Formats: sequence, C-alpha cells, structure tokens
Amino acid sequence: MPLDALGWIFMLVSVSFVTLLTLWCFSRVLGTQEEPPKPVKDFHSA
Amino acid sequence: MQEKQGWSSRLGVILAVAGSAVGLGNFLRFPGNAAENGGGAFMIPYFCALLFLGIPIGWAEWTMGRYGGRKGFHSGPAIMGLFGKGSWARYVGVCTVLIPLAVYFYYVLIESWCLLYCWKFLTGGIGLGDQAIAAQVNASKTFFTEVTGSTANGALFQDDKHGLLIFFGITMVLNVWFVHRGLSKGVEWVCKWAMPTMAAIGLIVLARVLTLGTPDPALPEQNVNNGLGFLWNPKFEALKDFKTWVAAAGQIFFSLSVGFGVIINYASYMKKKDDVVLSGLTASATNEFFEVALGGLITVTAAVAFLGIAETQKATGSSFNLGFNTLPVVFAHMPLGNFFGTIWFLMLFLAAITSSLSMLQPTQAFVQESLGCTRRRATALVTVWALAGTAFVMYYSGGLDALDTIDFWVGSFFILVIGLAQIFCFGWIFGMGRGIAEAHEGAQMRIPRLIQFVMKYVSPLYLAIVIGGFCWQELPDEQNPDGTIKAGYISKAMDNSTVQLAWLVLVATTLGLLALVFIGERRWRAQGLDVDGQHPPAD
Repeated sequence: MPLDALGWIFMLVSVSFVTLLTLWCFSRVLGTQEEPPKPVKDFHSA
Repeated sequence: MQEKQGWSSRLGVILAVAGSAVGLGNFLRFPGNAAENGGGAFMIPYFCALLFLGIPIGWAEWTMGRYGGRKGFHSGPAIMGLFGKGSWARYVGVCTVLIPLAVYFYYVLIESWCLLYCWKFLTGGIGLGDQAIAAQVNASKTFFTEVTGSTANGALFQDDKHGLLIFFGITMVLNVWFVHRGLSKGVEWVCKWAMPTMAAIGLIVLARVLTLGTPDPALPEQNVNNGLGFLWNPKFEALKDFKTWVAAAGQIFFSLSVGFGVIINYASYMKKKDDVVLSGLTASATNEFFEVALGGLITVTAAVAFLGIAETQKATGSSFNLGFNTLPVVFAHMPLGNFFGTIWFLMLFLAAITSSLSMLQPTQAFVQESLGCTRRRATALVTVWALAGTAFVMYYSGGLDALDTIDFWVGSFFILVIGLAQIFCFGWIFGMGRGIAEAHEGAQMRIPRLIQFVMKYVSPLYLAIVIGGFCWQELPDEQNPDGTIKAGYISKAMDNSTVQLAWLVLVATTLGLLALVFIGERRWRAQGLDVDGQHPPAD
C-alpha cells in the first residue's frame, strides 16, 4: 500500500507542524537575553 | 549548609526536560502505536491529547515546580502538599517519586541493552549471517532472549552469554556519577551534549532510510513508499474505537514525561522570573519533533523496506519486538548496516540515559529534602535502593513479567492518576487564577484563555475518561478475534507469582517513600516552612 494522497497530507502536516513549532520555540528561547545565575543557599541541606 | 543546586541556563533546563521526555518510546512505541491504531488517522486523537492533556498539564507541572522551588521545596510530595494545601496531597504526591524510582528499576536495564547492542554492532553485528529473513528474525529473537535472560528467572545470573552484566555495570556507574555531579554539571551537561547528538544521528539515519528506495529489486513491494504508506495512510474507522483514543492519550503522557514527577522537580530549580510557559512549550515541541518527525519516519519505514509488511506487522505491537528483534535484521540487510546499527543504538542509549538520569534526580532530591542529608548520602541511598529494585527485575527475568508489571502499573497507569491529581490541585484547590498568574510570572508568552478553560475543565475530565477506559480495556480478560483469550492484568496478578512479587516490591517501595514523607513533614514543620501553602512565597 503506497502512500496515498491523504497519507501524504497527514504526514506532511504532522511533521511540518512539530518541526515548525520546535524551530519557533527555539528561536524565541535563543533570541532573548537571560540573567546570569546567582548562587543562593539551600535551607534543607546539612 | 551547602550551595543550592540550579540550572546554569534556560536552555539547560529545557534540554534536560526534553531529554527526560525523549526516550525509547519516541522511536519504538510511537510508530508501533500509530501503525496499530489507524495510521495517519491516529494523529487526530494524538494531537487532541497533546493540546488538551500534554501541554496544559505540562504547563501546570512547570508552574507548580517553580512555585515550590520559591518556597524552598524541590520534591514532588512537598510541592503537591503546597498545591493541595494539606497532608493528603503530600501522601498522594508520593507517586511523583514512586514513578521515576520504580520505572528506573527496569529502564536502566533497557538502557544497558541499548549499550550492549551498540557495542555489538560496533564490533561486527549480532551474528545474523546471510540466512533467509525468517531465520534471521528467529536468530535475532534468540539473541534478544539471551541478552535479557527472558527464558527463565535467574537466567541472566547463571549464563550471561553476551556480557550484559558488564554493560549494566557501566550504565549504572554513568548514571550515579552524573547524578552525583549535580544538576548543572551532571544532568544539564549530559543533555546539552546528548540532545544535539541525538538530533544529528536521527537526521543521518532518516536521510538514509528515505533514500533506500527499493532495496531488493526482486521484491518490489518492499520499498520506502509502501513503508510510509503502512504508517501514514489514514484508516478513519479506527477513530470509532475508544482504544485508539486511550492509546493516543497514553502515548502523549508516556512520551512527554507528564505525571512522571520529573518536570515538577526540574522546574523547582528555576528562578522566579524564568519563563515556564515558553520553556514548557519548547520542551514539549522538542519531544514531538523527535517522536513524529524522526520516530514516525524512520523505524517502521525501514522495517517495511527490508522485511515487508507482514513481518513488520508482527513487530508493531511491541516496542521490544520492533527495536530489538526486527531492527537488527534491518541493519543486517542495509548497506553499511553495522555503522547504522551502531549509531542507531547509540542514539537509543543517549535517549535512555537522559531519561534515566531524570528518574534518579527527583528521588535523590526527595531523600535529601526529607532526611536533611547531604547530596552524597542521598545519592548513596538512592543508588542502593535503585540497585535493589533493578536486581529484582534482573533476577525475575522469565518472560520479562516483573518488568512488564512495573511498566504497566507504574509507567502507564500511575502516571495518569498523578496527572489527574496534579491538574486537580492546580486548577481547583490552588485556584486557576492564581495558578495562571504564577505561570505568567516572567513569561514572554501568555497561556491562551481557551487553554485555561481546558486546564480547569477539559483536562481533568478527559483524563478521568482515559483512566476509566484504560482500566476497562486492560484489567479484565479479553477475547481475541480468533477466539483465544488475552489475559488481562487481573488474571495475570492472580496466576503469576512473579507479578505478585513485583507488586510486593512496589508496595514496599511505596511504604518506604511514605515513611520519608512522614519524616520530612515533621522536619519541614520544625523548620517553620509553609508546608501547607498557606502564605505567598517570601520572595
């Protein structure tokens, strides 16, 4: 059973959606500055 | 006092959560599930489950974790206590530690299988030779049986033909070492290297698979186009079957690590102004990329191209069949098969280690927090605990019953239950308005109003229906179309002493964790911490 027209549509839409969503998210994450980490103390540890 | 653990960057925590989520299920379980439940049509309930369950509950977990960290807590039970405003939630929240710990009992073993297979392919393959495909599949199954010792209980300790115990030892040492190094130098460091490596390997293997064409001109029906068709051609009648919807929801939950107790622990080390909304969405999207774009195009396609639809169909019902019995035969037929076998199992090993590290970390944080001990002591205690559980699974290897029991109850059922408890505490006890305001603290993007409605009403209802369906489907015996009976989990528990022993191990582990909650609760109260979440964070 070769890939039919609906199969192509489901495959392309699904793969494109997750790929574009991932690229969009990483572009937002990497495109913003973040504060440098500050060392703080933990109150639970001995 | 010692320096608090934390992430060195936002990308670090995203990759760590994504690394935790991306595991064997992305490459082996997802394609099998999709092929068995409607092909392309499976993506409809799958994306519904992602939108109505995975992403909303994931956002709730990220928010709960960061809020708990601001109140000085890093363990699932303590944070559940804050959101459920009482001891009951802390004791229910014990599942957020039981799940990663008990899954670790068997997951680290599977991880060592991947390392062993990687080594075998690097050093010449698993010895399938030039026999007919059916004989190669049998030889591959025999090899897998010998590696796992699934012929009988104790087989692995009597005749470890392929040196699994050595690979298990290496895997365990790596796990303990990286967890002991702490979050940024351990888990984060591993994920920062492993995730891009996995993506690169996945894309290389994908390129190879999609350019296979028709590997054997004598068998023209075995080709890439038919492989893609087998997985992606939609069979809409499957949507009428409730099982398809339960399978899709289970896949999303299992795959995204929602309800696993990992996200809540990892997010607790974030700062007040760190963006949990975008981070949560990015981690989920990354997992989906690995699952749909790589897992959905590689595994089944390659199997059909080399072995045909009939042989692939036999394997899709089980991740182990597909991954460890069928794919080695595919690599035996593929040009440069040993190279591709090596990098494929290396990728699976990396996927597994980033997940297994995330299972030890919440337990270690919980032990450290409840007993007030050092990280070294907590790591030692968790290592002994994990080793004892894994030794049980390794010894009771006959038919892989112990592994299967823990996987079913803890890795599939309890994650749904704790997911329901979490979204209920978040939306109904802590309050949706407060929860969303907390999620939006430092966020670049807003959670849409529609999703807020989904989080409060749709997700709990959807999840309750899925849990009901799961029980209805899996617990009683079921008659197959050919008239044979498929034993449900109730019958299995009645008839099989290994299953009963596995239950005993789970009960003992749960009791141990409950005792730690009891001890911890008293310590936290004595320290004057706001254990029941009565006041806003001091920062």
